[in-house]
Amino acid sequence: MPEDASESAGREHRALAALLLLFALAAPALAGEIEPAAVVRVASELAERVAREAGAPEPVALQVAAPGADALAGPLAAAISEALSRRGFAVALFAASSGPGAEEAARILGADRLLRVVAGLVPGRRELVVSAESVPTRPSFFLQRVPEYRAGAARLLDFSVPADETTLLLARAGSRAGSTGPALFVRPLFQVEERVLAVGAGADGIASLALVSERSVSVVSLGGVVRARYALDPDVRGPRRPAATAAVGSLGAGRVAIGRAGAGGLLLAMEAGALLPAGSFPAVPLAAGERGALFGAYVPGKAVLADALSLSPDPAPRPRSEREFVSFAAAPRPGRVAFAWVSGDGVATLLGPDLEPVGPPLEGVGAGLALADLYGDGEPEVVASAPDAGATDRVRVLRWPAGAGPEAPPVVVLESAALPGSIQCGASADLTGDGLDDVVVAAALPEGGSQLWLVTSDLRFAEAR
Amino acid sequence: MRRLAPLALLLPLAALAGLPPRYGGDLGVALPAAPANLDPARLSDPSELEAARALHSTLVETGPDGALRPALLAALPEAEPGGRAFRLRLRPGLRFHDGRPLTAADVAASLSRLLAPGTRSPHGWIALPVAGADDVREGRASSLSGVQVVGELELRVALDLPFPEFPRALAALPAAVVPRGGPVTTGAGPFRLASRGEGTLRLAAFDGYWRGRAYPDALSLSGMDARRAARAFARGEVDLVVRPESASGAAARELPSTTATYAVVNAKRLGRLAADLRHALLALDRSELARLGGRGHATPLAGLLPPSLLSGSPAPAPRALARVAGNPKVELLVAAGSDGNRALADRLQVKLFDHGVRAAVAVVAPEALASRIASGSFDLAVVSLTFTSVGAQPALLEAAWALGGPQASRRALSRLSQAEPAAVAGELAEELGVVPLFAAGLHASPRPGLLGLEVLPDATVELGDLSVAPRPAREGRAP
Repeated sequence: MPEDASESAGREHRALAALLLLFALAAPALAGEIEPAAVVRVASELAERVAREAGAPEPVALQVAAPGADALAGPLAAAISEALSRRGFAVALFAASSGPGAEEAARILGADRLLRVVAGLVPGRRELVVSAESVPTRPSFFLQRVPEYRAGAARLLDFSVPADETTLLLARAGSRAGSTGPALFVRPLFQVEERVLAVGAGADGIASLALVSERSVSVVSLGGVVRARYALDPDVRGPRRPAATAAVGSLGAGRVAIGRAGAGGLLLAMEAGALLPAGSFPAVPLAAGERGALFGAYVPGKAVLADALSLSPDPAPRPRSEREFVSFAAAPRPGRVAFAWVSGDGVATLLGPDLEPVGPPLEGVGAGLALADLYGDGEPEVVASAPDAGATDRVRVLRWPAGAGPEAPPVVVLESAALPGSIQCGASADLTGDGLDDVVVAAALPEGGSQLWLVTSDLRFAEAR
Repeated sequence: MRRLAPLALLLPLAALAGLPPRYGGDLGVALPAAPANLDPARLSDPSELEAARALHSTLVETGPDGALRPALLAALPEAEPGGRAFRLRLRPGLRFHDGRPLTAADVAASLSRLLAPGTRSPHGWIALPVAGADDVREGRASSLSGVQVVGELELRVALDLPFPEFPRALAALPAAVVPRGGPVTTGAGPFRLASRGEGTLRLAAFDGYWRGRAYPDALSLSGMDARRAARAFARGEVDLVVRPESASGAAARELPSTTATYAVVNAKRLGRLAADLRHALLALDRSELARLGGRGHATPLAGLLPPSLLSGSPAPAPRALARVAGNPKVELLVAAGSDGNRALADRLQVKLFDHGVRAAVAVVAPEALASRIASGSFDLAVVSLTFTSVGAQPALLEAAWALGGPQASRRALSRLSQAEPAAVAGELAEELGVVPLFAAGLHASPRPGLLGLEVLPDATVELGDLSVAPRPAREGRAP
């Protein structure tokens, strides 16, 4: 019988998960000051609580499940097993079905206690939550002839710890790769009165958006609450149609870098609830991702960017080529595709981490562009608006089939219904805290102002609001 | 789920509002005539108005929504208490096409030259409210005493009479700022003059334009008759046709009807006959005259101003007309170069003959016609006026200047401080012996794929906003 592709992929991901776990376990030993991975902390805490409850070491049957983050289950089981073993418990990993039958099976296995653990990430909070049921399996003298009766009261152990990057990566690994992944949702967030020219997204503790309009920069929560606002200098001799960029990420906590055509770059920092200027630079910030900041330059007098990409804010950027583009996107976690731009005629060029083009260009892409790893498979998808938008626009998500690189034809895995307005910009980050990237796009509305939309696979947004 | 080729990925690219306008391209524009006069102070027809829109900038401008907005000024003019003076402050860093800085002194000089006898401007009405206007107009002074240059970027303009609508007058294209000492073809508009050939102006985008560089790299403005324009449009040789008729196969836009045609009766010269003649003209069927003489979209005109400038009563129905006694003879003047007006004059000749008036049509040069009207040496004239102003009050000054000269314009200014524009318009038409006939407008016909066509209330097109849509994707094409 031919091997099922998903099984094969699953094995690969379990292997990856194990490697990551080894790294996570070894890291604290190598450097004492490093915080242990969340799975290790959860295992340690759980073992401690079980030991307190049991009073003395005993044989334990361990059953671990991580629905929605399958790759977490193995490392978590290993970590809990190791933590219990250190406390003198004899642990048997156990995969029987749930229910009273499982307790009976655990008893037959020789275990005095069944530890049934369910783990998962808390959407929106970047937390690893564990809910464990500790069930004594010792036979009662009076009830031993009635197997469906429990030998003793089960105890619920319920707690959570902050999810670190390793744990988030584990949660993503393998759960969805090789398949089309979970459903994607396009959901309205909120409207703003000013027309948004650029949006930056970051999840620095609290998910925030940086919205740049012609007159101001606002840091706004995902719910539309303005946390801080900075009024921009109106006397800028820019192009006839204003253009701006926004970058949030590696610049530091609470920092937003913006660029305006005709005005260069400006670094703003949140201080005591206010957004204050923290510096300026001649170049235009385009991205601030895991690989650091990336800068560019507007063509003088025009609302288009020159191909003058640079890792530093060069005061006199030299164009690498004569290419010009109207929109730029950076993947929060670069894969083979790290950046992309859209030229004025609606052609998207994908760039690798080395800023060199990757794969053939994509035609028919609007200015609303973002790169985001919506499926957690390590390769960003292209989220694009339509080039022919008018009173309405659409969001499309393009994905390369599993195993195929950006040289292959992408697949449209999502095409939204008509959305009011014309999408002008987009940005990506893990805004819902589920460990997967999300995308925010801003659509300019015909009556003025902008509507913000979220593209996500977070099930909390499955219900249309 | 659909699998798509990497190229030709999504849609045919018809209208790309999902992408910002593209820079680049050399656009061809067909106009009713080659713009002969590039001095904004002397422009007189829609073609020259369009050329001025491309070459020049005004202190303030009227947006597509009709609202006044600052242009070369940093903010709308501030009226001082009493409304008889305005403070004007220029944006910093303004430059003319030749690189010279645009300063308050250039603004002052541009206002003065509208009235200077040497300029021979038909748009002195713009500066007429300014103190010292008559001194400049009559050659006693070279500059307006009411204009005080306060600093390099600031000036104060004092008026003879309170005129709250003065900023609207400054939005008219003849009020565009030109450099002191010229040349007048150098402006601060979105395009600079590159060359001037036979019937064609070649313009290039001006990088230092205050609103940002225009989208097209270059423009060619060519005067074309209907046939040539249609042929050029069909061949794709022009991107935009601005003419009375719409181009075949194009989704044409109607421009506001801002060219008004009048019959002007000289009461001073004709005495009692003037009243009979005016009565006879008022009784004519203006709808028929509009069909005959008005090219493009023409509507009968009820009042002195076109409805786009002053909404008024509907056009009066034709009335029965008694014969004018005595078979009088009059000379009917019409400007050369206007086929429509010549045909209209011939038609008026026939109509008046039917009612006992013998009119001899005399075709004269446009300048001669203006001169004879100003000096009162005419009996009856057919006059077309292309309004450059937006707003009833400035338009009344403009009409009075064109049909009755500076004194009529000054009287209109004085009346406007006491009466509503509609009442002043009625009085002015009576006083000047003007019989409004019809108002006509042009069509703007863009070729498919030309984006950003925006029509301004003065019936011009913002040519710097035009851009070309990307071509549809082709397999294998590199970006």
